[in-house]
Amino acid sequence: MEEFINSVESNRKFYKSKLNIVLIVAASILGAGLICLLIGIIFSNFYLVLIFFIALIVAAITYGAGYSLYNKKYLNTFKKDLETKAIEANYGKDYFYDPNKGIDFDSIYESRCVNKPDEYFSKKYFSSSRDGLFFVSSNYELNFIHYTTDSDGNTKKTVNHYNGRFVKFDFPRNLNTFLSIIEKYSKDEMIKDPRIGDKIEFEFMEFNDKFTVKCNDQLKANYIITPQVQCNLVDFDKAFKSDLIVCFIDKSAYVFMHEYIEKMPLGIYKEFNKKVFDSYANEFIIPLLLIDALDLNNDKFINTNLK
Amino acid sequence: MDLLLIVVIVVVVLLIVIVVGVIAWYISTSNTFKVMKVKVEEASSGIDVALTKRYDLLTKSLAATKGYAKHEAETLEKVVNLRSGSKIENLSMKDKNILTSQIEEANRGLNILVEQYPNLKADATFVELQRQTADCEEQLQAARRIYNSNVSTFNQKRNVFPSSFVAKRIGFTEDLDFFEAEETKKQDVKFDF
Repeated sequence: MEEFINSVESNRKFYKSKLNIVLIVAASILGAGLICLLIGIIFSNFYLVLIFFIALIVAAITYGAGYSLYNKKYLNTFKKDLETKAIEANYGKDYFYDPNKGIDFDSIYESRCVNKPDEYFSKKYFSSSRDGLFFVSSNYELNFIHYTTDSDGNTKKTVNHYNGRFVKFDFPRNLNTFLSIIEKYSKDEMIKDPRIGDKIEFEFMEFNDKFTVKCNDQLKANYIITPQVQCNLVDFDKAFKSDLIVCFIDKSAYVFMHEYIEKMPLGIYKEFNKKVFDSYANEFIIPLLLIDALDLNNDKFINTNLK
Repeated sequence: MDLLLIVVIVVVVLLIVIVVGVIAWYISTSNTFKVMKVKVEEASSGIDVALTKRYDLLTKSLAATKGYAKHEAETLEKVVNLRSGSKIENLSMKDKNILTSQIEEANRGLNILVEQYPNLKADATFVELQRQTADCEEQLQAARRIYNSNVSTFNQKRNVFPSSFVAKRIGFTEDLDFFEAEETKKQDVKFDF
Protein backbone atom coordinates (compact mmCIF):
# COMPACT_ATOMS: atom_id res chain seq x y z
CA MET A 1 0.00 0.00 0.00
CA GLU A 2 2.80 2.38 0.94
CA GLU A 3 4.47 1.67 -2.39
CA PHE A 4 1.25 2.50 -4.24
CA ILE A 5 0.75 5.74 -2.28
CA ASN A 6 4.37 6.78 -2.97
CA SER A 7 3.98 5.99 -6.67
CA VAL A 8 0.79 8.09 -6.89
CA GLU A 9 2.44 10.92 -4.99
CA SER A 10 5.50 10.93 -7.27
CA ASN A 11 3.13 10.90 -10.27
CA ARG A 12 1.28 13.88 -8.82
CA LYS A 13 4.57 15.76 -8.33
CA PHE A 14 5.57 15.01 -11.94
CA TYR A 15 2.33 16.46 -13.35
CA LYS A 16 2.44 19.33 -10.89
CA SER A 17 5.93 20.28 -12.17
CA LYS A 18 4.55 20.24 -15.73
CA LEU A 19 1.66 22.39 -14.61
CA ASN A 20 4.13 24.77 -12.96
CA ILE A 21 5.75 25.32 -16.39
CA VAL A 22 2.30 26.23 -17.78
CA LEU A 23 1.82 28.51 -14.78
CA ILE A 24 5.13 30.29 -15.53
CA VAL A 25 4.11 30.71 -19.19
CA ALA A 26 0.70 32.10 -18.16
CA ALA A 27 2.34 34.41 -15.59
CA SER A 28 4.80 35.66 -18.26
CA ILE A 29 1.91 36.47 -20.62
CA LEU A 30 0.14 38.25 -17.80
CA GLY A 31 3.35 40.12 -16.85
CA ALA A 32 3.83 41.29 -20.45
CA GLY A 33 0.20 42.39 -20.46
CA LEU A 34 0.72 44.38 -17.25
CA ILE A 35 3.73 46.16 -18.74
CA CYS A 36 1.55 47.03 -21.77
CA LEU A 37 -1.14 48.30 -19.40
CA LEU A 38 1.32 50.58 -17.57
CA ILE A 39 2.77 51.99 -20.81
CA GLY A 40 -0.75 52.35 -22.22
CA ILE A 41 -1.85 54.36 -19.16
CA ILE A 42 1.28 56.58 -19.22
CA PHE A 43 1.04 57.33 -22.97
CA SER A 44 -2.80 57.13 -23.07
CA ASN A 45 -2.62 54.40 -25.72
CA PHE A 46 -5.89 52.47 -26.05
CA TYR A 47 -4.35 49.55 -28.01
CA LEU A 48 -1.80 48.80 -25.31
CA VAL A 49 -4.58 48.70 -22.69
CA LEU A 50 -6.53 46.36 -24.98
CA ILE A 51 -3.45 44.13 -25.29
CA PHE A 52 -3.45 43.82 -21.47
CA PHE A 53 -7.00 42.52 -21.47
CA ILE A 54 -6.22 40.09 -24.28
CA ALA A 55 -3.12 38.92 -22.38
CA LEU A 56 -5.24 38.46 -19.26
CA ILE A 57 -7.70 36.24 -21.13
CA VAL A 58 -4.94 34.26 -22.88
CA ALA A 59 -3.12 33.71 -19.55
CA ALA A 60 -6.33 32.48 -17.88
CA ILE A 61 -7.15 30.13 -20.78
CA THR A 62 -3.58 28.80 -20.88
CA TYR A 63 -3.54 28.03 -17.17
CA GLY A 64 -7.10 26.63 -17.18
CA ALA A 65 -6.36 24.33 -20.12
CA GLY A 66 -3.06 23.24 -18.56
CA TYR A 67 -4.68 22.53 -15.19
CA SER A 68 -7.50 20.57 -16.78
CA LEU A 69 -5.12 18.54 -18.98
CA TYR A 70 -2.60 17.60 -16.29
CA ASN A 71 -5.16 17.06 -13.56
CA LYS A 72 -7.05 14.68 -15.84
CA LYS A 73 -3.83 12.89 -16.83
CA TYR A 74 -2.87 12.59 -13.15
CA LEU A 75 -6.25 11.15 -12.15
CA ASN A 76 -6.47 8.80 -15.15
CA THR A 77 -3.11 7.24 -14.44
CA PHE A 78 -4.15 5.79 -11.10
CA LYS A 79 -7.89 6.19 -10.57
CA LYS A 80 -8.69 2.64 -11.66
CA ASP A 81 -5.89 1.24 -9.49
CA LEU A 82 -7.02 3.42 -6.61
CA GLU A 83 -10.60 2.19 -6.88
CA THR A 84 -9.45 -1.41 -7.06
CA LYS A 85 -7.20 -0.98 -4.04
CA ALA A 86 -9.90 0.91 -2.10
CA ILE A 87 -12.41 -1.87 -2.75
CA GLU A 88 -10.01 -4.73 -2.09
CA ALA A 89 -8.96 -3.14 1.20
CA ASN A 90 -12.53 -3.72 2.42
CA TYR A 91 -13.90 -6.64 0.42
CA GLY A 92 -10.95 -8.74 -0.68
CA LYS A 93 -11.46 -10.30 -4.11
CA ASP A 94 -15.17 -10.98 -3.65
CA TYR A 95 -16.68 -8.09 -5.62
CA PHE A 96 -17.71 -6.80 -9.02
CA TYR A 97 -17.15 -3.18 -9.93
CA ASP A 98 -17.81 -1.40 -13.20
CA PRO A 99 -17.87 2.42 -13.12
CA ASN A 100 -19.61 2.56 -16.49
CA LYS A 101 -22.33 0.05 -15.72
CA GLY A 102 -25.48 0.84 -13.75
CA ILE A 103 -28.22 -0.98 -11.93
CA ASP A 104 -31.45 -1.75 -13.80
CA PHE A 105 -34.42 0.40 -12.85
CA ASP A 106 -36.58 -2.61 -11.94
CA SER A 107 -34.36 -3.24 -8.89
CA ILE A 108 -34.99 0.32 -7.75
CA TYR A 109 -38.68 0.36 -8.62
CA GLU A 110 -39.47 -2.84 -6.73
CA SER A 111 -38.76 -0.93 -3.51
CA ARG A 112 -42.19 0.73 -4.08
CA CYS A 113 -40.72 3.95 -2.71
CA VAL A 114 -39.94 5.77 -5.97
CA ASN A 115 -42.03 7.04 -8.84
CA LYS A 116 -41.29 6.02 -12.41
CA PRO A 117 -39.15 8.72 -14.04
CA ASP A 118 -39.13 9.81 -17.69
CA GLU A 119 -35.40 9.19 -17.92
CA TYR A 120 -33.16 7.01 -15.83
CA PHE A 121 -29.35 6.82 -15.71
CA SER A 122 -27.13 4.80 -13.46
CA LYS A 123 -23.40 4.19 -13.10
CA LYS A 124 -20.75 2.91 -10.72
CA TYR A 125 -22.21 -0.57 -10.31
CA PHE A 126 -20.73 -2.35 -7.35
CA SER A 127 -21.70 -5.68 -5.88
CA SER A 128 -20.26 -7.88 -3.17
CA SER A 129 -21.31 -9.92 -0.17
CA ARG A 130 -20.68 -9.85 3.54
CA ASP A 131 -21.77 -12.19 6.35
CA GLY A 132 -24.24 -14.04 4.12
CA LEU A 133 -25.71 -10.83 2.70
CA PHE A 134 -25.46 -10.03 -0.98
CA PHE A 135 -25.65 -6.41 -2.04
CA VAL A 136 -25.60 -4.30 -5.17
CA SER A 137 -24.97 -0.58 -5.19
CA SER A 138 -24.91 2.16 -7.79
CA ASN A 139 -25.44 5.85 -8.32
CA TYR A 140 -28.73 6.90 -9.87
CA GLU A 141 -30.13 9.86 -11.71
CA LEU A 142 -33.86 10.11 -12.22
CA ASN A 143 -35.22 12.78 -14.54
CA PHE A 144 -38.82 13.92 -14.52
CA ILE A 145 -39.77 15.93 -17.60
CA HIS A 146 -42.61 18.45 -17.55
CA TYR A 147 -44.06 20.45 -20.43
CA THR A 148 -45.91 23.70 -19.77
CA THR A 149 -47.64 25.90 -22.31
CA ASP A 150 -47.95 29.62 -21.72
CA SER A 151 -50.78 31.93 -22.84
CA ASP A 152 -49.01 32.57 -26.19
CA GLY A 153 -49.02 28.87 -26.95
CA ASN A 154 -45.26 28.40 -26.42
CA THR A 155 -44.32 25.05 -24.89
CA LYS A 156 -41.56 25.00 -22.32
CA LYS A 157 -39.71 21.85 -21.21
CA THR A 158 -38.56 21.52 -17.61
CA VAL A 159 -36.43 18.64 -16.34
CA ASN A 160 -36.14 17.89 -12.63
CA HIS A 161 -33.03 15.84 -11.79
CA TYR A 162 -32.71 13.66 -8.71
CA ASN A 163 -29.40 11.99 -7.84
CA GLY A 164 -28.17 9.76 -5.13
CA ARG A 165 -26.75 6.41 -4.12
CA PHE A 166 -28.79 3.22 -4.06
CA VAL A 167 -27.96 -0.02 -2.24
CA LYS A 168 -30.00 -3.20 -2.30
CA PHE A 169 -29.33 -5.99 0.18
CA ASP A 170 -30.60 -9.55 -0.21
CA PHE A 171 -30.67 -11.69 2.90
CA PRO A 172 -31.54 -15.38 3.24
CA ARG A 173 -34.44 -15.15 5.70
CA ASN A 174 -37.87 -14.13 4.49
CA LEU A 175 -39.34 -11.62 6.93
CA ASN A 176 -42.74 -11.69 5.19
CA THR A 177 -43.29 -8.04 5.82
CA PHE A 178 -43.27 -4.59 4.27
CA LEU A 179 -41.62 -1.79 6.20
CA SER A 180 -40.68 1.66 4.97
CA ILE A 181 -38.54 4.27 6.74
CA ILE A 182 -38.70 7.59 4.93
CA GLU A 183 -36.95 10.72 6.09
CA LYS A 184 -39.52 13.42 6.79
CA TYR A 185 -39.70 16.46 4.55
CA SER A 186 -38.37 14.45 1.58
CA LYS A 187 -40.98 15.88 -0.73
CA ASP A 188 -39.25 15.40 -4.09
CA GLU A 189 -41.46 14.02 -6.81
CA MET A 190 -39.12 11.07 -7.06
CA ILE A 191 -40.19 9.75 -3.66
CA LYS A 192 -43.42 7.82 -3.44
CA ASP A 193 -45.31 7.16 -0.25
CA PRO A 194 -45.84 3.38 -0.44
CA ARG A 195 -49.17 3.73 1.42
CA ILE A 196 -48.80 0.29 2.94
CA GLY A 197 -49.33 -0.38 6.63
CA ASP A 198 -49.85 1.94 9.56
CA LYS A 199 -47.62 4.70 10.79
CA ILE A 200 -45.57 3.50 13.74
CA GLU A 201 -43.90 5.56 16.45
CA PHE A 202 -40.88 4.43 18.45
CA GLU A 203 -39.25 5.26 21.79
CA PHE A 204 -36.47 7.46 20.43
CA MET A 205 -37.95 10.92 19.87
CA GLU A 206 -35.15 12.13 17.59
CA PHE A 207 -35.81 9.14 15.35
CA ASN A 208 -39.55 9.88 15.27
CA ASP A 209 -38.82 13.52 14.45
CA LYS A 210 -36.60 12.54 11.55
CA PHE A 211 -38.31 9.52 10.01
CA THR A 212 -41.77 8.28 9.15
CA VAL A 213 -42.11 4.52 9.55
CA LYS A 214 -44.93 2.50 8.06
CA CYS A 215 -45.32 -1.23 8.43
CA ASN A 216 -48.02 -3.84 7.99
CA ASP A 217 -46.97 -5.54 11.25
CA GLN A 218 -46.18 -3.50 14.36
CA LEU A 219 -44.40 -6.39 16.05
CA LYS A 220 -42.14 -6.95 13.04
CA ALA A 221 -41.41 -3.21 12.87
CA ASN A 222 -40.25 -3.24 16.50
CA TYR A 223 -38.36 -6.47 15.87
CA ILE A 224 -36.43 -4.92 12.96
CA ILE A 225 -36.10 -1.36 14.25
CA THR A 226 -34.62 -1.92 17.68
CA PRO A 227 -33.64 1.08 19.84
CA GLN A 228 -30.04 0.53 18.69
CA VAL A 229 -31.08 0.66 15.01
CA GLN A 230 -33.01 3.88 15.71
CA CYS A 231 -29.87 5.50 17.15
CA ASN A 232 -27.73 4.13 14.32
CA LEU A 233 -30.00 5.56 11.63
CA VAL A 234 -30.05 8.98 13.26
CA ASP A 235 -26.23 8.93 13.47
CA PHE A 236 -25.89 7.67 9.90
CA ASP A 237 -28.15 10.44 8.68
CA LYS A 238 -26.03 13.03 10.49
CA ALA A 239 -22.81 11.61 9.05
CA PHE A 240 -24.03 11.62 5.44
CA LYS A 241 -25.83 14.70 4.23
CA SER A 242 -28.60 12.97 2.32
CA ASP A 243 -32.26 12.06 2.63
CA LEU A 244 -32.44 8.48 3.79
CA ILE A 245 -35.10 6.08 2.54
CA VAL A 246 -35.07 2.45 3.66
CA CYS A 247 -37.54 -0.26 2.64
CA PHE A 248 -37.69 -3.83 3.85
CA ILE A 249 -39.68 -6.15 1.63
CA ASP A 250 -39.60 -9.86 2.49
CA LYS A 251 -36.01 -10.91 1.73
CA SER A 252 -34.58 -7.56 0.66
CA ALA A 253 -33.68 -4.18 2.03
CA TYR A 254 -33.56 -1.16 -0.29
CA VAL A 255 -31.67 1.94 0.74
CA PHE A 256 -31.70 5.30 -1.04
CA MET A 257 -29.24 7.97 0.00
CA HIS A 258 -31.13 10.64 -1.84
CA GLU A 259 -29.21 13.77 -2.93
CA TYR A 260 -26.02 12.17 -1.67
CA ILE A 261 -22.96 13.94 -3.10
CA GLU A 262 -19.81 11.92 -3.53
CA LYS A 263 -16.60 13.31 -2.17
CA MET A 264 -13.70 13.46 -4.59
CA PRO A 265 -10.79 14.52 -2.42
CA LEU A 266 -8.23 14.15 -5.20
CA GLY A 267 -6.47 16.90 -7.13
CA ILE A 268 -3.09 17.80 -8.52
CA TYR A 269 -2.46 20.33 -5.74
CA LYS A 270 -3.54 18.01 -2.94
CA GLU A 271 -0.86 15.81 -1.44
CA PHE A 272 -1.75 12.15 -1.83
CA ASN A 273 -1.26 10.24 1.40
CA LYS A 274 -2.86 7.50 3.51
CA LYS A 275 -5.50 9.92 4.83
CA VAL A 276 -6.62 10.89 1.33
CA PHE A 277 -6.65 7.23 0.31
CA ASP A 278 -8.82 6.34 3.31
CA SER A 279 -11.18 9.19 2.57
CA TYR A 280 -11.59 7.92 -1.00
CA ALA A 281 -11.98 4.32 0.18
CA ASN A 282 -14.80 5.45 2.47
CA GLU A 283 -16.98 5.89 -0.60
CA PHE A 284 -16.94 2.13 -0.99
CA ILE A 285 -17.70 1.22 2.60
CA ILE A 286 -21.19 2.73 2.57
CA PRO A 287 -22.79 -0.74 2.19
CA LEU A 288 -20.79 -1.97 5.19
CA LEU A 289 -21.82 1.04 7.25
CA LEU A 290 -25.43 0.36 6.32
CA ILE A 291 -25.09 -3.28 7.35
CA ASP A 292 -23.93 -2.09 10.76
CA ALA A 293 -26.53 0.66 11.04
CA LEU A 294 -29.44 -1.60 10.12
CA ASP A 295 -27.95 -4.58 11.96
CA LEU A 296 -28.37 -6.64 8.79
CA ASN A 297 -25.75 -9.20 9.82
CA ASN A 298 -27.94 -10.14 12.77
CA ASP A 299 -29.26 -13.70 12.83
CA LYS A 300 -32.81 -12.43 12.29
CA PHE A 301 -31.93 -11.65 8.67
CA ILE A 302 -29.60 -14.55 8.02
CA ASN A 303 -30.67 -17.64 9.93
CA THR A 304 -33.35 -19.38 7.86
CA ASN A 305 -34.03 -21.86 10.68
CA LEU A 306 -35.64 -19.16 12.80
CA LYS A 307 -39.41 -19.14 12.99
CA MET B 1 -89.67 39.29 18.75
CA ASP B 2 -89.36 39.85 22.40
CA LEU B 3 -85.74 40.34 23.49
CA LEU B 4 -86.22 38.03 26.47
CA LEU B 5 -87.46 35.25 24.17
CA ILE B 6 -84.39 35.65 21.95
CA VAL B 7 -82.10 35.41 25.00
CA VAL B 8 -83.94 32.30 26.21
CA ILE B 9 -83.67 30.66 22.78
CA VAL B 10 -79.92 31.46 22.56
CA VAL B 11 -79.33 30.10 26.08
CA VAL B 12 -81.34 26.94 25.35
CA VAL B 13 -79.50 26.37 22.05
CA LEU B 14 -76.17 26.94 23.78
CA LEU B 15 -77.13 24.50 26.54
CA ILE B 16 -78.18 21.90 23.97
CA VAL B 17 -74.88 22.38 22.10
CA ILE B 18 -72.91 22.06 25.33
CA VAL B 19 -74.82 18.95 26.47
CA VAL B 20 -74.51 17.29 23.03
CA GLY B 21 -70.81 18.24 22.98
CA VAL B 22 -70.21 16.75 26.43
CA ILE B 23 -72.07 13.54 25.51
CA ALA B 24 -70.12 13.26 22.23
CA TRP B 25 -66.84 13.85 24.10
CA TYR B 26 -67.80 11.26 26.75
CA ILE B 27 -68.62 8.64 24.12
CA SER B 28 -65.49 9.45 22.12
CA THR B 29 -63.23 9.31 25.22
CA SER B 30 -64.91 6.13 26.37
CA ASN B 31 -64.35 4.55 22.95
CA THR B 32 -60.74 5.72 22.95
CA PHE B 33 -60.19 3.93 26.27
CA LYS B 34 -61.78 0.76 24.93
CA VAL B 35 -59.65 0.87 21.76
CA MET B 36 -56.53 1.45 23.86
CA LYS B 37 -57.44 -1.48 26.10
CA VAL B 38 -57.85 -3.70 23.05
CA LYS B 39 -54.43 -2.54 21.80
CA VAL B 40 -52.90 -3.37 25.19
CA GLU B 41 -54.50 -6.82 25.09
CA GLU B 42 -53.22 -7.40 21.56
CA ALA B 43 -49.74 -6.37 22.65
CA SER B 44 -50.09 -8.63 25.67
CA SER B 45 -50.89 -11.57 23.40
CA GLY B 46 -47.68 -10.74 21.50
CA ILE B 47 -45.82 -11.13 24.79
CA ASP B 48 -47.62 -14.43 25.45
CA VAL B 49 -46.55 -15.86 22.09
CA ALA B 50 -42.93 -14.79 22.55
CA LEU B 51 -42.85 -15.92 26.18
CA THR B 52 -44.34 -19.33 25.35
CA LYS B 53 -41.74 -19.75 22.62
CA ARG B 54 -39.00 -18.62 24.98
CA TYR B 55 -40.17 -21.13 27.61
CA ASP B 56 -40.30 -23.97 25.06
CA LEU B 57 -36.82 -23.14 23.82
CA LEU B 58 -35.48 -23.15 27.36
CA THR B 59 -37.09 -26.55 27.97
CA LYS B 60 -35.51 -27.89 24.78
CA SER B 61 -32.13 -26.38 25.68
CA LEU B 62 -32.27 -27.99 29.12
CA ALA B 63 -33.22 -31.32 27.53
CA ALA B 64 -30.24 -31.03 25.19
CA THR B 65 -28.03 -30.25 28.20
CA LYS B 66 -29.10 -33.37 30.10
CA GLY B 67 -26.88 -35.52 27.87
CA TYR B 68 -23.86 -33.69 29.27
CA ALA B 69 -24.87 -32.54 32.74
CA LYS B 70 -28.04 -34.27 33.96
CA HIS B 71 -27.94 -33.11 37.57
CA GLU B 72 -27.23 -29.46 36.73
CA ALA B 73 -29.96 -29.40 34.06
CA GLU B 74 -32.48 -30.73 36.53
CA THR B 75 -31.44 -28.07 39.05
CA LEU B 76 -32.03 -25.41 36.43
CA GLU B 77 -35.40 -26.91 35.54
CA LYS B 78 -36.49 -26.32 39.10
CA VAL B 79 -35.61 -22.64 38.79
CA VAL B 80 -38.38 -22.19 36.22
CA ASN B 81 -41.47 -22.84 38.18
CA LEU B 82 -44.32 -22.55 35.71
CA ARG B 83 -47.47 -23.52 37.53
CA SER B 84 -48.48 -26.95 36.31
CA GLY B 85 -51.51 -26.89 34.10
CA SER B 86 -51.63 -23.11 33.73
CA LYS B 87 -51.00 -21.59 30.33
CA ILE B 88 -48.86 -18.48 29.92
CA GLU B 89 -51.76 -16.48 28.49
CA ASN B 90 -53.72 -17.12 31.68
CA LEU B 91 -51.02 -15.65 33.91
CA SER B 92 -51.26 -12.11 35.24
CA MET B 93 -48.70 -9.58 34.05
CA LYS B 94 -47.02 -9.81 37.45
CA ASP B 95 -46.70 -13.60 37.09
CA LYS B 96 -45.40 -13.17 33.55
CA ASN B 97 -42.73 -10.84 34.93
CA ILE B 98 -41.77 -13.47 37.51
CA LEU B 99 -41.68 -16.20 34.84
CA THR B 100 -39.46 -14.04 32.61
CA SER B 101 -37.09 -13.50 35.52
CA GLN B 102 -36.99 -17.24 36.16
CA ILE B 103 -36.31 -18.00 32.51
CA GLU B 104 -33.54 -15.40 32.47
CA GLU B 105 -32.06 -16.86 35.63
CA ALA B 106 -32.13 -20.41 34.21
CA ASN B 107 -30.61 -19.13 30.99
CA ARG B 108 -27.75 -17.54 32.88
CA GLY B 109 -27.19 -20.84 34.64
CA LEU B 110 -27.20 -22.53 31.24
CA ASN B 111 -24.53 -20.14 30.02
CA ILE B 112 -22.37 -21.02 33.01
CA LEU B 113 -22.83 -24.72 32.17
CA VAL B 114 -21.77 -24.09 28.59
CA GLU B 115 -18.49 -22.70 29.85
CA GLN B 116 -17.98 -25.78 32.03
CA TYR B 117 -18.78 -28.32 29.30
CA PRO B 118 -16.93 -27.51 26.05
CA ASN B 119 -18.65 -30.45 24.29
CA LEU B 120 -22.01 -28.84 24.98
CA LYS B 121 -20.73 -25.63 23.42
CA ALA B 122 -19.87 -27.56 20.27
CA ASP B 123 -23.16 -29.49 20.11
CA ALA B 124 -24.88 -28.41 16.85
CA THR B 125 -28.42 -28.85 18.23
CA PHE B 126 -27.58 -26.84 21.32
CA VAL B 127 -25.90 -24.10 19.32
CA GLU B 128 -28.95 -23.79 17.05
CA LEU B 129 -31.22 -23.67 20.11
CA GLN B 130 -29.09 -20.88 21.55
CA ARG B 131 -29.38 -18.91 18.30
CA GLN B 132 -33.14 -19.38 18.33
CA THR B 133 -33.20 -18.30 21.97
CA ALA B 134 -31.34 -15.09 21.11
CA ASP B 135 -33.83 -14.36 18.34
CA CYS B 136 -36.76 -15.19 20.58
CA GLU B 137 -35.36 -12.79 23.14
CA GLU B 138 -35.42 -10.07 20.48
CA GLN B 139 -39.04 -10.90 19.64
CA LEU B 140 -39.87 -10.73 23.33
CA GLN B 141 -38.16 -7.36 23.61
CA ALA B 142 -40.14 -6.07 20.61
CA ALA B 143 -43.42 -7.29 22.14
CA ARG B 144 -42.41 -5.82 25.50
CA ARG B 145 -41.69 -2.42 23.92
CA ILE B 146 -45.05 -2.32 22.15
CA TYR B 147 -46.93 -3.43 25.27
CA ASN B 148 -45.19 -0.96 27.57
CA SER B 149 -45.70 1.87 25.09
CA ASN B 150 -49.43 1.10 24.90
CA VAL B 151 -49.71 0.76 28.68
CA SER B 152 -47.90 4.06 29.17
CA THR B 153 -50.31 5.85 26.79
CA PHE B 154 -53.30 4.23 28.51
CA ASN B 155 -52.12 5.08 32.02
CA GLN B 156 -51.32 8.67 31.08
CA LYS B 157 -54.76 9.20 29.65
CA ARG B 158 -56.40 7.45 32.57
CA ASN B 159 -54.70 9.76 35.06
CA VAL B 160 -55.18 13.06 33.30
CA PHE B 161 -58.28 15.16 33.95
CA PRO B 162 -60.93 15.25 32.42
CA SER B 163 -60.42 11.85 30.75
CA SER B 164 -59.73 10.36 34.23
CA PHE B 165 -63.40 11.09 35.02
CA VAL B 166 -64.58 8.95 32.07
CA ALA B 167 -62.06 6.21 32.93
CA LYS B 168 -63.50 5.86 36.43
CA ARG B 169 -67.08 5.84 35.14
CA ILE B 170 -66.40 2.98 32.70
CA GLY B 171 -64.50 0.89 35.20
CA PHE B 172 -60.84 1.63 34.48
CA THR B 173 -60.00 2.42 38.07
CA GLU B 174 -56.42 1.13 38.19
CA ASP B 175 -53.28 1.64 36.16
CA LEU B 176 -52.21 -1.30 34.02
CA ASP B 177 -49.04 -3.15 34.96
CA PHE B 178 -45.94 -2.70 32.85
CA PHE B 179 -43.99 -5.67 31.61
CA GLU B 180 -40.80 -4.69 33.43
CA ALA B 181 -37.18 -5.51 32.71
CA GLU B 182 -36.30 -8.31 35.07
CA GLU B 183 -34.88 -7.33 38.42
CA THR B 184 -32.53 -10.28 38.36
CA LYS B 185 -30.70 -8.70 35.46
CA LYS B 186 -29.35 -6.17 37.89
CA GLN B 187 -28.07 -8.84 40.28
CA ASP B 188 -25.24 -11.32 40.20
CA VAL B 189 -26.70 -14.80 40.07
CA LYS B 190 -24.91 -17.66 41.81
CA PHE B 191 -25.59 -21.30 41.08
CA ASP B 192 -24.43 -24.14 43.30
CA PHE B 193 -24.70 -27.25 41.18
